[in-house]
Amino acid sequence: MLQFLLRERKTAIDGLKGFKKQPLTPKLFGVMAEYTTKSKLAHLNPWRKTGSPTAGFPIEFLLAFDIFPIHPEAYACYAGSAGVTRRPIEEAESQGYSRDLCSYMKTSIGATDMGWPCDFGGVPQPDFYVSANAVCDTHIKWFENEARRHGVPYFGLDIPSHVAGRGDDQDLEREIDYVVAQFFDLIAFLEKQSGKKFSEEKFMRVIGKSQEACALYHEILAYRRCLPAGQYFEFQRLFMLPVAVMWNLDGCIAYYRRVLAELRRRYGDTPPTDLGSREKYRLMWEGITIWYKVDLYYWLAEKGARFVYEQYTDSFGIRRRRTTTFPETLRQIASEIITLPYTLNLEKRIAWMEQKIDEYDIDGVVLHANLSCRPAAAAQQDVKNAIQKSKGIPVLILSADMDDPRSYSDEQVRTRCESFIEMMEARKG
Amino acid sequence: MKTFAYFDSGHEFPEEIVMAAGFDPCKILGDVEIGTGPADEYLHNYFCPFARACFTEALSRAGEWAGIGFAHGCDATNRHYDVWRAHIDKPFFWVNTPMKIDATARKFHLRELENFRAGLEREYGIEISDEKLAEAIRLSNRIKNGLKRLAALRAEHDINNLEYLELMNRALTGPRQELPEELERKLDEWQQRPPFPRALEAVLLTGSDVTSPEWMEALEEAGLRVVRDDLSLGERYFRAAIPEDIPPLKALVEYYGAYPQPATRVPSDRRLQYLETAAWENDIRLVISQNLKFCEPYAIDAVWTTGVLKNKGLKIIHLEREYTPTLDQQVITRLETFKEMALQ
Repeated sequence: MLQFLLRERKTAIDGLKGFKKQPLTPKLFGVMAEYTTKSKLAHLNPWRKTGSPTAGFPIEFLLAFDIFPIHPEAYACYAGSAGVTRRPIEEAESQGYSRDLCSYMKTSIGATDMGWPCDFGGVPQPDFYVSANAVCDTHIKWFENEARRHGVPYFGLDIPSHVAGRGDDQDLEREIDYVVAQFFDLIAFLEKQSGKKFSEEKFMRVIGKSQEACALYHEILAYRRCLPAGQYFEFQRLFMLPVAVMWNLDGCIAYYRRVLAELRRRYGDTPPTDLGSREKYRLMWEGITIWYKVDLYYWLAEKGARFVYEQYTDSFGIRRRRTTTFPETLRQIASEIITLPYTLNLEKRIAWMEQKIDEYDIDGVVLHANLSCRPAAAAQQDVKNAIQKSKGIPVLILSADMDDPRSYSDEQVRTRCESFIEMMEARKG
Repeated sequence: MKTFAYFDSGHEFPEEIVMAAGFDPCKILGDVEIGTGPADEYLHNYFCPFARACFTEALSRAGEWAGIGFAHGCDATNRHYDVWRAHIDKPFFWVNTPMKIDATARKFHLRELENFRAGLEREYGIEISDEKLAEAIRLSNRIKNGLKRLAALRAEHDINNLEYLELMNRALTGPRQELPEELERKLDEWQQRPPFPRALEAVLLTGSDVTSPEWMEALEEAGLRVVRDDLSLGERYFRAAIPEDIPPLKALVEYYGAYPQPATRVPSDRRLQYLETAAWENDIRLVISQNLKFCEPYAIDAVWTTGVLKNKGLKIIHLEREYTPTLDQQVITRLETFKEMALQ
């Protein structure tokens, strides 16, 4: 880190300014700093292995072997928040990676190769890589490629697509069978990498904590239904870090308990529906956030428009149901990965959004047409048409990129958002 | 015979089950000459242009088809299925072909194929017996064998790039029953062709599937003749035979892991091994690697594959290409320069 600060003084200063712009509480700042510090120190412990998972991968399997999760996407989000992704992305492109490829991947590759610390997107070398194609092809290609580049083992989890029209009985059960069978292959892989025997008992303890952390996370999310909401997107996107990466489940539970207790003091034990000071416009965001542009959310807030629900942040509290036995747990995890809210098929996605629009009293929806996350941006026109028809609220498709600032135009985005706000205003009449 | 159309990103779709159901399978290939406006009403223009061309074709031609099948492959097949299904009024079938080819994946693949067979039987009120499947596999193998023999002539005779593409187009989109005889006649004709032109350089072509003529013409204009490839409209389709001595659905599962693998599957090493072997078998010095704009699996793989093949002593160029019917003179110039420099 010191070397980086000396070598890349301007980047470090810009990055610190970027972090400073985030709506961080001292506690959340501490949580974020804890993860990067532990990530940097993890490889110093010869008795503890490290493994790199992607989003959508069941990290609990790593934790059951005491393997520390090195999460490249999380570091790419740090770099995005810091506003320093352009150089690493261009570094990766100079190696031959196309401009059209995932900006998380390129931030990660570029920052790592330039020797940047994980606070700025670099990845401390893990002992192995694991990934799942629950979200996209890139998770598989990227991590297999990284494992090869760094000469370490790789394991891929193949998640079938539960497309529209597939039944929730036989079809889903068959898909679950496949994922569960792969869990046993994964266990064998992890036993080999860690040199430890798998313990069902320990795994169930980890899952118990993970389920508790997710339950707390969802309880907190429910307070965003309040008028006004308990938290907004610009905070939520960072607040989800502990449950998304799970490097310290005990710490995550303790932190979320404190936040929940605070919300209960503020709003009462059950989220009330009306406190009498509703936001002017309550918005839903679909897709990954624009990490480098927290200013957009602040600018919208000035106009009274606040994001109170996102499928994206909802998806990270992935363990949605308590389980008690090992076989039941494996099936539940498989089902949760296959039917992740973020990757629901078109029919279920529309139904999910319609339900959330009612629950969160939404006035308008923004669909992020993310230039480097094509799978997430598929079918947005159909979503837009369906929501506008069924709910009669404006839906805006906003073109940008989650981590690449070169694909963002402040003026264009603001002009489109202004029209969108006018439409919401006109509807309120 | 009624046509059953399918969209896949490599060579995942089990055509033989459709043949056994009494249909002619037709791989949807889009038409580069027709704008993708109809598809762009529903899909962003930064999605794979080939996938949008296929959707455009389906929107206008679906009335001619008995049904539409998809196989799990790349993000385009996996995420566009729902959109097609929402806008085309036809029976749709989804086959969750696995990304891996290990024992666990093979078991799941078999169940998915059984489910597909049952789905066709239910929808069309037919029975797809093992005997019919075995017959379809035998026909498919005859076709693959014919194509393989024809493709081998590329290195010996004057068979231009476009002719090879047209042959593959015909094989994947036209009626199958009479195809083996057609291929035999073509074989007689190609064997009479003049020898491989000295002015041309033999190349190995890899990357995204080439489905339209302009790219093949560009290579030809630059003096590069494709004698080996690992494309779905190419060797991936015919290089391996489907086993005939085991139960037919199991045979399709075994076949899935035996042909040249696309970039959408892991481990990727198998794809690279095939390229190395192909180059070595035909003593090829030049490799053309390309990806269609927005085709992520091949764009990611290219960085690694080009590096490894270079280290093996092969001369390689990687290009990102547009989906356009226009012959790009800049591309031709780059290819010509590559050829000149590589052969110095």
